[in-house]
Amino acid sequence: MNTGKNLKPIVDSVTLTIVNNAMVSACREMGVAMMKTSYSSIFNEGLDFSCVIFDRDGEMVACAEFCPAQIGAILFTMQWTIAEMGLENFGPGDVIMHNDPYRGGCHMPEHTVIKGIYHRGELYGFVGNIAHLTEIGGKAVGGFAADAKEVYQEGLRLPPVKIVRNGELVEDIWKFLLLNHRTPRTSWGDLHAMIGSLAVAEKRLHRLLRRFGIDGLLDIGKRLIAYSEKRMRAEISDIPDGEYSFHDWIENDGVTPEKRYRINSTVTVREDEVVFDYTGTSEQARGPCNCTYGVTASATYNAMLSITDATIPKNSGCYRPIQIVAPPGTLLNVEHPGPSVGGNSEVHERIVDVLFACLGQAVPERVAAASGGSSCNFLFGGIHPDTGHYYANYHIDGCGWGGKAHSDGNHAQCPINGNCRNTPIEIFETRYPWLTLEYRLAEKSGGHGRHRGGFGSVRVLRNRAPEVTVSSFMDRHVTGAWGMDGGGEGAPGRLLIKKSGEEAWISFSDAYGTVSPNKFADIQIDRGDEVLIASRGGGGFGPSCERPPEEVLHDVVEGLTSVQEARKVYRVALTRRDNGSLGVDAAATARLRRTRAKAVRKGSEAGNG
Amino acid sequence: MGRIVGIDTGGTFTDLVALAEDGTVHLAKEPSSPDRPADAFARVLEKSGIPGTDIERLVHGTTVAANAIIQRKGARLLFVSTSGFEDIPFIQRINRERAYDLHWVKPEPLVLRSNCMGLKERCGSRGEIILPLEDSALEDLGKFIGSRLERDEIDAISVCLLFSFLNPTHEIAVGAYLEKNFPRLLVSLSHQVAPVWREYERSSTVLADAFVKPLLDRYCIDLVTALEKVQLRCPCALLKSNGGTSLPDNARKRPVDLIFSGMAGGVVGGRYFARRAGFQNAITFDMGGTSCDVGIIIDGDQQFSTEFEIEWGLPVAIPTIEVRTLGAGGGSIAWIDKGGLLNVGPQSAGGDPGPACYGAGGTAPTVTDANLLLGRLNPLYFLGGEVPLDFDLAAVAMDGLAVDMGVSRIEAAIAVIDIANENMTNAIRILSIELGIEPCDFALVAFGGAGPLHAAAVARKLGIVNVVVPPHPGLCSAFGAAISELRVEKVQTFSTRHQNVSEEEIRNRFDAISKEAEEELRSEGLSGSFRCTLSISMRYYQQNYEEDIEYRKRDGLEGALSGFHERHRRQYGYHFEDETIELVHFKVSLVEEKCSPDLRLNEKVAEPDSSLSRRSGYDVDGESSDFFVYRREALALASHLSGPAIVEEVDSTTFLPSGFELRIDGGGNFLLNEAPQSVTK
Repeated sequence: MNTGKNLKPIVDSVTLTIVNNAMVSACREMGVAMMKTSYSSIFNEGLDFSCVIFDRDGEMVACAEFCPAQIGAILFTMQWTIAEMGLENFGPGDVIMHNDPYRGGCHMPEHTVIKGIYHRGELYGFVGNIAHLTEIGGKAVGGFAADAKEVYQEGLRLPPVKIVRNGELVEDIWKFLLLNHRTPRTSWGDLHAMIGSLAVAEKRLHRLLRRFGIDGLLDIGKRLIAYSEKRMRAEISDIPDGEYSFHDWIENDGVTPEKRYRINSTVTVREDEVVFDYTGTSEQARGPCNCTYGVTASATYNAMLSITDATIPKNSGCYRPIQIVAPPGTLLNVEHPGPSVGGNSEVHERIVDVLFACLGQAVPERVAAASGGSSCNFLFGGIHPDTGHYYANYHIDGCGWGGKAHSDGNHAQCPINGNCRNTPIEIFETRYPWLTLEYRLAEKSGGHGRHRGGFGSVRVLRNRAPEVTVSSFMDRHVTGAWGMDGGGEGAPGRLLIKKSGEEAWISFSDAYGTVSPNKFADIQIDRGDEVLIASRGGGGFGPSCERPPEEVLHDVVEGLTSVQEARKVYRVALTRRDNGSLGVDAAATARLRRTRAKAVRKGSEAGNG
Repeated sequence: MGRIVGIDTGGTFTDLVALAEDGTVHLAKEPSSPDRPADAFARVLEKSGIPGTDIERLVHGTTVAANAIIQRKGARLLFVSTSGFEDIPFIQRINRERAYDLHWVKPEPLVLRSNCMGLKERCGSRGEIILPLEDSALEDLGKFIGSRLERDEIDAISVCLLFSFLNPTHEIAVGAYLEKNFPRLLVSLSHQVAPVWREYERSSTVLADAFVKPLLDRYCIDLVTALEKVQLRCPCALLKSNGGTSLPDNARKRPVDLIFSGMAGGVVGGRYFARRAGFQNAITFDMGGTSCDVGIIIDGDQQFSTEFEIEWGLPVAIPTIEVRTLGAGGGSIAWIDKGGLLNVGPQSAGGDPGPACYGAGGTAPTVTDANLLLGRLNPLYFLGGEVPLDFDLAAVAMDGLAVDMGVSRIEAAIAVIDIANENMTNAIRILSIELGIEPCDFALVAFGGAGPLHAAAVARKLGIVNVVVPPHPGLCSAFGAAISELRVEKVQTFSTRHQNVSEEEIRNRFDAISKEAEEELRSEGLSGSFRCTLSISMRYYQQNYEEDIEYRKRDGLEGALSGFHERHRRQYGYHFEDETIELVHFKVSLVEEKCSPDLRLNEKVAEPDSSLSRRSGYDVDGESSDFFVYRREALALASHLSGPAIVEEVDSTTFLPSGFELRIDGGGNFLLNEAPQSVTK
């Protein structure tokens, strides 16, 4: 059999493809096993986890793309753990876990487990996964202390520790950990799913090790990494050299009144390398809208992978031509003891939007207008009236995505930092004491444009329990998602409450005096209270008056825009046909669009186009 | 007693298999007629020369329903939901097919948003009525429908109300109202089509059902007309997605059952040949021109999934034979990515223009081209010589690839085959982990035009020891249709925890579902006995994916629960003895008990080497080699061949690499194994 050495070039190239596919497949199998055995919805419906294979130098050889949020961070959590533990302190059958945001993590709910893979007594590398636990203790149920001022309020923090030693659970660690979680049974199930899935990938890796030997497989891994690096460099070379800047604002941090936070990015493309410099970003916030370095890196890589060839194998090589400058102590590189739970969930996608806006100046056909950029993080829990047991849930919604050069943005889609599913209403209401009154696309929420922004969704929930404790972490409720290339803005989000017996929808600030209307923790709401969560729409791409009239007609018929908007915004005149259906009045439309074109020309001549 | 006949409409050919009482087999083949599939159906029946009066049972596998959905050529629908939830088909599950693809577009629902109507009513999570359905709400619905009918905008109606799987009262009332007021409209109600939870999945299923209803209606009429000519004395049954059959009058009411009809036949056929060769556990491997369907047989029976998707994001939540389709077939195109690595598929040259060697204008190198260049296909005997293959065109196409890779033509062809095999291997592994099996404990049953060419190499990669190549591998789907038994699979969601349910309640629930299932089975023409299997989908409380565990009345719930612990331990390496188990779905499976036909195939008594010839070609590792070439029909039972060798037949070619041996069993199956000395390699 091949040893991986002295391979003929042809065999070599085929072997690369084969080993890459086998490794990615092993990572996917790890994910499937976790999905099928885990306990919390964020795991098994949300698929909020990532699975990787590392070599013994701590380089990522393969991963399965379940959740992009962790794709950068896992590099650092693994490398940090290996460095801190020391290779000599790993052993066969040991599993190490940690969740420390200052050791490369994303935020505290995200736990990493890793296991060394040994072949004939020698260490090859590691299999690992990083996944979101719903409940980790701390001041707020569900691990989202949206008004935390320090990491210590956010939950139980763990440095790298062995939770399995030589195949046996380390009882002391487990007892200590589970005592600090509100829903220990769920954590127990989820952690077992994480650990159990490592064995699945381990088995596949052993098959490859038997086939190629340890040196052979290490060598192939290095070549795969070099290959991806080469591909990524070629992709970057296709982007025109230059310096591209953009910025956006986080509207509040949940703690400090009247203060917003700037995300600033300058992207410099030089030949086959690119530098993402976040200098100019606000200093770190008191509240938890900060990003760890892992989050900032994940968001940066996510943006790059989204605008480059999707067939490049995802491994450490992809990241080599990418440099990140994120000054410590800022919103995008939080230092101890700054809190960070919201960065991963709510700021990641905003960083990606800023980067698309930068890169769009160079390659507009590859990017998208701003997305709704939020999963509307809404958390709740308490004692379930039916069971008498503590429960917790992390609830998410999709948002509209931005229009692109060649197509409309999708409606109600999980933001780019994740790829979660929503929880079906019929499962949601079976498990939790809420009645859903409405779940639909948010009227007129997508930005106008040649390619429309996608629509967000609206959900209205009525509490059926005597009491529920809720927390929230949302943003962009003042300003909507921007359009690109002349496209319109998407509608901002909303989070409102209607107290039982009242008529009016009011903000949580008005109802409970929270500093922020959308970032708060531990609010007790009563039976019959209703909560409205409206997610944001995406921005449009290109001028509205360039949208083909037939598509505008279709939008009107489908209730995505009105006859009035068609005329005013899209410059399309519609007329009612004899059978009562709508049609395009071509002549009137042409007239309307000519006037519009003249106005635009006039505008640009005057220098304000 | 007369013959039983199976007719399978494939993308390229419509195949017929007829089995006579004495076990003899009769075959016919005609090009498919995609625009009017019933035409090819009639022609192939005519060509077979079998008088209709001689046919005792006729079963037809069809892709009519699946194609209509994929091409979005179906009914114009109106969708009725609970008020406030009209956008469920548009919101879907909010996830996307893959990460890092900004340009991906969500699947297009089968209904227009402007034809979705919310009904003022609401049922809760315990089946309780929260908001009663008033007559005024039905009148509003009537007006809405009236306005659409006035403009001739709809053909059929789908209804999916929240929690109707627990309490169907409101859906039944809507059904009655529609029947009374709009008797000509075809209607599908979600609690009848798929009484399972998850409103998006149920909506998607009931939309698919109504979408193909008018079309299936017409198709059934076309079939009946076609059959009038042959004076058939039995009704023509249609093969269902679960591998059972449905009479036209039933199929028209629940066309959703036919969506995967075309894929089910292969698995049923593969199951038959696996059992015949003595294997109760097998992976069926059906590789054709554009794709490869992989199915699983466990304990002698096909497996079912209720999470099938017509295309990504459009689920059909009814019990369907577990089959995975991957984009790997003879027509799969080999290409070099931007970084210089070779990839194969999922793009396919299909049947038109097809692989370069078809000479129909295709220029991209494909898997079939590679097989031809490696001497594994006979250019003059592809489909029995009906499609002559052009070696030179294949060579030109492969040379383009070889130049880009900087290797020889043969090295490129070897690499193409190896990567295609590896892709299929990985796909089978992922399916295995989802089903909790180890491929190496299974036999591989390879069929379809291309399956037997690749089976030995794929088996070796998977550690599979036994490979079965049934007789007439290209006709296995038609064969499966012919021998399919009557079967009904019922699934009903009833979510509870194991401590909260009594043995009596479980039995009552099963009795109710069984009764309904039996009625359905009888309406399909069951005359003899049937086998009944009860199972409960279970999981540890809070998990989200269930395992189906058989419920035996004598062992009761206790037995089923310990079965679940055992399954979890086997599949994932651990279990929780004291944990609460959630029961989610109750499933009843009724299968007609009938004897499988005993076939007489390949019973020629001939000299083992009577049609022996030689052809130079290349083995798995690229070594040039002299293949012994045989014709299958000339091989005697109990023949024993050693690789490298090729066995040709009209509809397929078997490749036996060096190190493999081939025997023919009493049933005419080829059994391929690695020779003992090479296993240790």
